[in-house]
Amino acid sequence: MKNMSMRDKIQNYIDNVFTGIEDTQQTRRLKQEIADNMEDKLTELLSRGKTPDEALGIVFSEFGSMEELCREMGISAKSQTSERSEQPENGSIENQLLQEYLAFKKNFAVAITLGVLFCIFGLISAAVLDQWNETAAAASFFGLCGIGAALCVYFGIRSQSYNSVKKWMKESGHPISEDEAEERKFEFPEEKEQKWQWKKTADSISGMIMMAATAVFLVCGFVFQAWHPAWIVFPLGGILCGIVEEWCKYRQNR
Amino acid sequence: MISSDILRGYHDMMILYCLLERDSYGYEISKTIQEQSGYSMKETTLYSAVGRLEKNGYVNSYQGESQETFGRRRTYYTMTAQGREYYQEKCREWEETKHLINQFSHLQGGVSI
Repeated sequence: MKNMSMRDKIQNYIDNVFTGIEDTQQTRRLKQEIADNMEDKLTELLSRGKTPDEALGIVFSEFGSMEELCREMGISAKSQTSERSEQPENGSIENQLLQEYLAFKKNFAVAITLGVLFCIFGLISAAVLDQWNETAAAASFFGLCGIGAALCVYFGIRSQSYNSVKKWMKESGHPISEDEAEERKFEFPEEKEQKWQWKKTADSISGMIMMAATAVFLVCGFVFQAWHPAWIVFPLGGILCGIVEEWCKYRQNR
Repeated sequence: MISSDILRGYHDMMILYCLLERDSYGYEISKTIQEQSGYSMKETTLYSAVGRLEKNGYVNSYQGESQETFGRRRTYYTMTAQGREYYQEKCREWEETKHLINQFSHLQGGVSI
């Protein structure tokens, strides 16, 4: 059963790299043979104690290049011009995930920088305002630092949710640049995809919990001057996040 | 690190070597190459070369059953008489190439750097 699904993954990979290639008897035979070959390799790697993900990563990374195959075998693409624009359409969910991650990576860098800047401004403004008005200083300190911290926490959590993508990229040894990613199709082992689902839910809930905690803390502090007992919301929020994560995992596995 | 340009002309020779004694199929060929030399041939390289060999009449293919894979049918390759000749020719070519290039290597003596 396990091997069955691995076979499907290889087949899926082959189908993906052969999209846009003329469907002839020759290419069909080639596809079949390469799939058999990859499956043999996979079986051997598994028997040597590699994990399924590692084994798949190695097998995919040793596939080679379609360009070489087409050139050597005299295979032509269906139509070269429309090829590129069609790609996003037949992009698999995994591929979308990868695109999403690459887009996110850019935002991530900007957001973390902003977060740090907000914190620094919070400190500076507090120091400056403190000379005239203590309340205003505290307000600007907690306001700006709160925004900065929220940015860092939120993007940090979102970044973690892409861990399976990152790990997969590293394991399979694909040095992925954006251009390359657009050209290639990637397969993610099924288990990870599922894992990703619960992780995504858990992470978004955790993000909301921590933001709510920050809001409660600030309101308690400013409105009721209750900074001291109010800090308890942070450890409580952390515990709650842990519970939410476990609960999501449990629900997924059931 | 051996450049892939040099190797390209000799993938045929590696594959034919694996077929000298008995017929074989894709994975077995790449495994033999790996075990013999540590060189791991990419899938597309292997099948490009095998396809070229078949087109030139150096190998033939047939469907056969493998003991290892629980009777799953797979494509076996067998070397033709021309293939054997071509293999010998490639080996000679390599000797000549090696000899020629050696004339320019300081590791072979003659010049000092």
